[in-house]
Amino acid sequence: MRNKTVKILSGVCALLFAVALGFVLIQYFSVSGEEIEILSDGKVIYTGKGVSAEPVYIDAVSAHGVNRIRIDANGVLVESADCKNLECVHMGYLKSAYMPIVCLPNNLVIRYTGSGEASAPDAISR
Amino acid sequence: MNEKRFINRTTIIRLAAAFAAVAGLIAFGFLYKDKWNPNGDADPQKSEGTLFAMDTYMSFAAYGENADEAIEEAKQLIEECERKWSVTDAQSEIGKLNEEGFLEPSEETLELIKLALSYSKYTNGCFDPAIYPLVRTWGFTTGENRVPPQSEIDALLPYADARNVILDRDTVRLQEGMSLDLGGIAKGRAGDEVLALFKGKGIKSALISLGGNVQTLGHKPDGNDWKIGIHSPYGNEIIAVVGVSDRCVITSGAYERYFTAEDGTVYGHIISPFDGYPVSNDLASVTVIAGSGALGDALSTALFVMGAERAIEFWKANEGFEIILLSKDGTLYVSEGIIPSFEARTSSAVKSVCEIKR
Repeated sequence: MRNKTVKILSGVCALLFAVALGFVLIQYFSVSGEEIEILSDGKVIYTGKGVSAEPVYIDAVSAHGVNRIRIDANGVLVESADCKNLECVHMGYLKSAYMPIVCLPNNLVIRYTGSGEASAPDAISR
Repeated sequence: MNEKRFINRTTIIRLAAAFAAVAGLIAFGFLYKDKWNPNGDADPQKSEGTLFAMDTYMSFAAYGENADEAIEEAKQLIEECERKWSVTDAQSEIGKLNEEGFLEPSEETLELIKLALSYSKYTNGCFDPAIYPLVRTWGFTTGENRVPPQSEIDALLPYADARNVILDRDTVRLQEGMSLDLGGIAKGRAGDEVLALFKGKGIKSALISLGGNVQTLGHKPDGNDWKIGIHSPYGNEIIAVVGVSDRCVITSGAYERYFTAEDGTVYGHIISPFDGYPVSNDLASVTVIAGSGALGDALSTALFVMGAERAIEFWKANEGFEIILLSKDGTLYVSEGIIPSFEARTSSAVKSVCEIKR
């Protein structure tokens, strides 16, 4: 009887240990900042996951112009735009919480809503 | 009693419980590690805001009870600065000055013009707010970039000289043909005013980025320095990170605004007041870390105009700021004062790091 009690208690403790360890590992290896938001003319027009197994297209239409945004398995990017310099398109996929995709002519911002990885800078000087 | 058992049941239970407790503590630590701020305020309220103004994207983050209100006022303040200082708005104070050659400016504009002229003198003309006739003829403010003929540059060059701006108590007068562009200092100054506004609201911790001009107020809420990345001039990566508090980190280079001519030559937006051409020397980018945004803004432009050797000599001869220069050959020059909080990042733009000392 006492042996059984010891086994049960040991099992419970081992289970707690495994759960805690699993939690730590998930926290450590999980990719943060997946939630994104898209702002057009200062208004949030989309919030949600920044990746999608099937491509999702969002047209950000503002008084200044139109940006076609694609969310796919690799992330989010501006696929096309009617702005003059196309810097937003050239930026490619959104890579980090500290470096949003910005289209100045069309007043568009695509950014992660989280603070991103712990080692990431708080801001970028450019 | 079983003689073969060298650990009894109680010991097993205690060990297992200890393991579980340790694991629980580790998990707890992970969960709350970001909220552990022994040196900071207890979980201060964070507010954020963004704004398109001064032809760029701006973001604000402030911590404290009045942060929401402060950020809203900061946005209004920035818009007010733009209304006064925009060189492309004919109704702004600078627009009127350039049009009429004479202005009785507001107190803020007069202060900014005085500051710009003093920085021009301080940098021996490498920062020159009177460069506008050349900036315009290269098309950097009109959006119609072109390579002007040499005769046109020669004709405009004499007007690009801040020493010919006449300040008479409360008035500013320009010689005929001159015009001012405060774009090389306006964002830094606007940032200084925003941080002063924040301070007045009792905010002790804030971070603003005015188009990549990063300015900080105090430490982060957890008591640590703000970590500011420095963007590579060649791609979407960072070349280094510096830790700062109550400092600005401002970077200049020819990579943000430029155009490619028909012959394939790339021309950046920073025009040399000495030859009237976009700066093309051994520097790829200049970062200045200073206590004032206006100073950092003006110096980053001036040092870029100087080139690496003169910029380093200038830093050695002057105090109150630190520099990080990236040369086109991949050498990253870092002044000694920022070394303790400097961290190089893996980047294809940087081949070696060189500490510079006074």
